[in-house]
Amino acid sequence: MKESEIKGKIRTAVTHSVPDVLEAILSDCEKQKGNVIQMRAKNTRKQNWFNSLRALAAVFVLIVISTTGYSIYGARMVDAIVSFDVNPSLELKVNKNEKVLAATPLNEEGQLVIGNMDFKNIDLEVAVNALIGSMLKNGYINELENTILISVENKDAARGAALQAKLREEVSSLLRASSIEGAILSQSVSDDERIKVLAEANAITRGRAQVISQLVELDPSYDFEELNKLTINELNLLIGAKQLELANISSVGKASDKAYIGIEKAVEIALNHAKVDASAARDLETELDSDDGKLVYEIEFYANGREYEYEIDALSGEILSFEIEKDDDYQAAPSQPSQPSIAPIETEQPATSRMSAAEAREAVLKKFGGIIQKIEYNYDEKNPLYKGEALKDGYKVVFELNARTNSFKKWDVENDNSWDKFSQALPNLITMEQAANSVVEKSGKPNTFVQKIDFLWDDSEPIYQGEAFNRGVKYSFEIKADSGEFQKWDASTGDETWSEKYFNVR
Amino acid sequence: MSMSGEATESKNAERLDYYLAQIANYDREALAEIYHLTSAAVFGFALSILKNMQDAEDVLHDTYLRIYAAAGGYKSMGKPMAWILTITRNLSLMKLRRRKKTVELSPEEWNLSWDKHPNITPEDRIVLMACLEKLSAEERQIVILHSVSGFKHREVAEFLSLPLSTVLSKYHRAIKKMRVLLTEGGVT
Repeated sequence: MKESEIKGKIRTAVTHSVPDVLEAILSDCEKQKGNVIQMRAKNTRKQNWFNSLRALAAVFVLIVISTTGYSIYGARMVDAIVSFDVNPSLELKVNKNEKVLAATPLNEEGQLVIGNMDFKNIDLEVAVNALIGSMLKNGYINELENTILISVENKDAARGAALQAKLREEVSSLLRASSIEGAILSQSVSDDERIKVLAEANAITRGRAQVISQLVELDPSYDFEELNKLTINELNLLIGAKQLELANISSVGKASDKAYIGIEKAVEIALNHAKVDASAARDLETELDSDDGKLVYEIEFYANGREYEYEIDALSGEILSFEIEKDDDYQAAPSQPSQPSIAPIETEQPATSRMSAAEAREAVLKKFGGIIQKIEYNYDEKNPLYKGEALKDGYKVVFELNARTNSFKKWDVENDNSWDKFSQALPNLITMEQAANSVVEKSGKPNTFVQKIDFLWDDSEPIYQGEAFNRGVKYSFEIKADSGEFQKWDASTGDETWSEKYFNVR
Repeated sequence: MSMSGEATESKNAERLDYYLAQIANYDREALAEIYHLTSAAVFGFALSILKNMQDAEDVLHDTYLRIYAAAGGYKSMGKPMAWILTITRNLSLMKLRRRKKTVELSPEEWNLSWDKHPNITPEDRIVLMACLEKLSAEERQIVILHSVSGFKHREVAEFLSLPLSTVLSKYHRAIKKMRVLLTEGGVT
């Protein structure tokens, strides 16, 4: 049975099993319009498919729900929503008398912290005491993770600010009593629809959504989803390291960095890897940053005519990536001893013509082995470059090859397991070189330039996809990598700049 | 990926974006349209997490109520389906958290579930049981997102925050398992 048939059968089976609840939805929407969302925490329609025991269990669940404060029907009495984020996240709804109406965990850890405690009608102060005590007891707050985010949402700004200050003081004294040097971030949560949607879509507190949203606004290179992978302590460390000033947030204490290797150790790891003596490194720059949902140390330095850049996992000390480039400003002193090289940079040679695409592919494979996953000819501000990525067992290299000087401008090797997924199939596939040659052949012009070619493995239908040019004609192609057949071949004209760019390369 | 495939996807995303904009103005007809376009993906994904028809039905219902309530705050980034399924996932996980684990159904209870849905054929039962009982939770989600929601593997990887290589290997392993199970079940 083919994969497509199995997919089709799954699709059909799921489609057939979808219950028709549209009428119920539309009816509930009408009730909901402008009101509180009436979620289906329990079945309002009659569902008698299981036995009476299950029905009785459902009644029991309803009773428990209504007595433990998960109900939404007390919403009118809510004066403020207070949330706590550590790694556990939870929300308390409180009334004007600062009595807890409901306690809601936002994640599994929050559930564990609340446990069997029933907070309904309990003084907020008592509830906070119990919750912080539970977080300490369960090890969520400790000397390695010591940051707590307290967020207060109250339409009355003055009351909200007063409650925030009171809670901050309360939590601070609780931590002191447990000999923990805590770091407390506290804030008022604004009534911003965007924050509500972000919080809801990610199942996090609005307080956490507001902090991350502000970080992304201050530094647009960050991504909300990525930052959302960090704990509050890590976010607090990042705020401190980058000296980001978040609006309306009060910060007390210092986030613990004891779990991390520290900048000095990270520099030592980078220098050892580069085989550069600390005394030979100049213009050293270090920064704690976030990448792919983890904290990293970024280390940059110059030595022996090279520029080194490292990204090191702040927790494990693993080198996540490194890059070594030629230092264009470097002038070696005649007596300076040479250092051993770990990633030789090819000597720049003056070149009268530009490297062809085939030569570029050959240079990459000669240096790295494996296969080229993608390669594209383009310009940066001044240089013609072949940019791309190549793969081999366990590794990926991201490269930039100067087509004028035939030297590698970038050679960034990192761990990668993509090779595993298609290596077995490679003997049955045509090579990128064969694919490029068939493009040139099909164009009918031997000087056609294959400007971009990618090897795509998605959906188990391996293809070579790309673009080629000959004067003002652009060819878009897709070639089946298993059979070598063209599944797409489009020729278009009209962009004369192509001929200027690609005339003297092929 | 063929260009025509990309064009269709882009058109679908545009349609969903259009309906979400209408729903922001409390347009119930637009909600009905979006329900028809996406309910299989939503139900299938909820079922893949919850392994329980009734719970998945509840999440199906609640997802569209959430969409109705939250569409006003939706900002198009060209991925409306991912936005919808994020809601589905969160509601499903909330349901799981509240009862801490999936409620395993007995064969009799599964039969009662199937009987409630007259459109389910005997072959569908075999396919769904294979999918729900024999695949791991991650394999199930990956297979459903790819087969029913139409996500490309790299979109599945992004959505589930998994490396693409993991998604591809789990997907192929799951398809291999399904092939054996369907053949054993007499599905051709």
